[in-house]
Amino acid sequence: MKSISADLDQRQMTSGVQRVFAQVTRYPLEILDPEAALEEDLGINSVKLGEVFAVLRETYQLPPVLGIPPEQLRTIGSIAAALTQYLVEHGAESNGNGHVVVAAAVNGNGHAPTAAVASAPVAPPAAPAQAAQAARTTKHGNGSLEPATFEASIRSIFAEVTRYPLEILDPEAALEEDLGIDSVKLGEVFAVLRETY
Amino acid sequence: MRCDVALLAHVLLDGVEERELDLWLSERERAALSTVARPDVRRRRAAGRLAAKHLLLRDGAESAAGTPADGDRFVALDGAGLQAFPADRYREVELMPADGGGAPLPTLRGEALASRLSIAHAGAVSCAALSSRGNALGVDLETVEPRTGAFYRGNFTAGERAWVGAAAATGALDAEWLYTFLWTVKEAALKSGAAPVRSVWEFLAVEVDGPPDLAARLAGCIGAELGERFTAFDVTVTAAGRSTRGAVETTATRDAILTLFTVSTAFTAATAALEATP
Repeated sequence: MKSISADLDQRQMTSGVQRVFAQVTRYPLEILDPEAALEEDLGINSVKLGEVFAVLRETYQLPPVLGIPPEQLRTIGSIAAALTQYLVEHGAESNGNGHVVVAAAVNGNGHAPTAAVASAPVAPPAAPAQAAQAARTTKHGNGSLEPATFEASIRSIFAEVTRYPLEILDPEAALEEDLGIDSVKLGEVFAVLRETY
Repeated sequence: MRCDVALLAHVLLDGVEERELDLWLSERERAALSTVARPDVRRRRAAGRLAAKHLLLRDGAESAAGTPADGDRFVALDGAGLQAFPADRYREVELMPADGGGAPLPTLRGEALASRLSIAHAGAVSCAALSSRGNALGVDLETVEPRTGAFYRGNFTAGERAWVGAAAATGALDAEWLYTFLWTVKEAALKSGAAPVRSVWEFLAVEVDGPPDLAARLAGCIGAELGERFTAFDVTVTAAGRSTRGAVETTATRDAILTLFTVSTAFTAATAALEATP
């Protein structure tokens, strides 16, 4: 492990933040220009932002108060920059491929774990700590060799490296013939697997 | 202290061309709005400004006439209501965005006004609130709709979630409505400056504490239209060890909630520090 590299990982963070916005707002990704003003250009209001921020906090395991100035919360790009800076300053680590592992909840496509986005307003909601734990488990499995966790973890790593949606990564699909994953990409996956396990 | 609330429904502006709305806006306001890319956002911002200008003009007219200041505090505006004052009077009142965001600062013929304003939008409605004596206030308006599970976990404290659970169990109000109400209090308090947090990002660190019969009071403020029924009560908003008392007035339907928060007194209470937990 090495310290997260701000320039490398801000790109990854921007992509992750973009996808959380897409997930919550249901806007197509291509509309979510990182430089667009959230309200003026995209029509995203404060309560919708509250939803997005809550998912981002669970996804990246961030504290309730980051002290981000409001002017840094006006575009996807500036939010990603603020979060990257926070993670850099607070010792987030990279797994060597430029992937942030402190958060451990993004599945590589920036999709938040199901626990973080399930629609369930009625009390009592799942405790954040439980959701975060579930999220950690879904990404790298914390090295667990329990079969279901292990398989889910490996799929998650494939999704992270290939940027394929998880649902495409059928455990029975042939990597090259069915999924088009070449040997170089496979090497990247194996590197992450080695580091994780 | 007197605060007024005005509502302006977008639907009443249907068929009104943007250039007609422009008649009620100053040149600088039109220029500022022209930088907003989305027509729906431009329109709702114009509507919010017209509602605020109407309140300022009405307040000025009442002061000049010596009218008692406790007349109708809630105005549902339509085209005819807006035209209670001629367009050039609206243009004399200017609401330009404050540096660094926040509520627009009102001026009359270039002179700063002491009045404090707050503007909110949701769905097809924009609203404005005015404190003519300059008391800090904030208004928020939200539609009630299902949101992600993270929204509930990530914006409301354990105490708030327990309150919603208990209140929803009585069956009078559902959990989505109650959470939306709490959000309107937090956002209105944030706009008033009473909540010592910087943005909605930090709402999990803000706790709203109302009267014991809050749920019953809220059930009484639901009408067929916003402004039909109100409920008023005091709340305490606590964040980062600081508590602020505020007067809350809420009017609602089953689908939308409008909350006005006016700062009463500020005091510091001994509360556990809200430490960030990475």
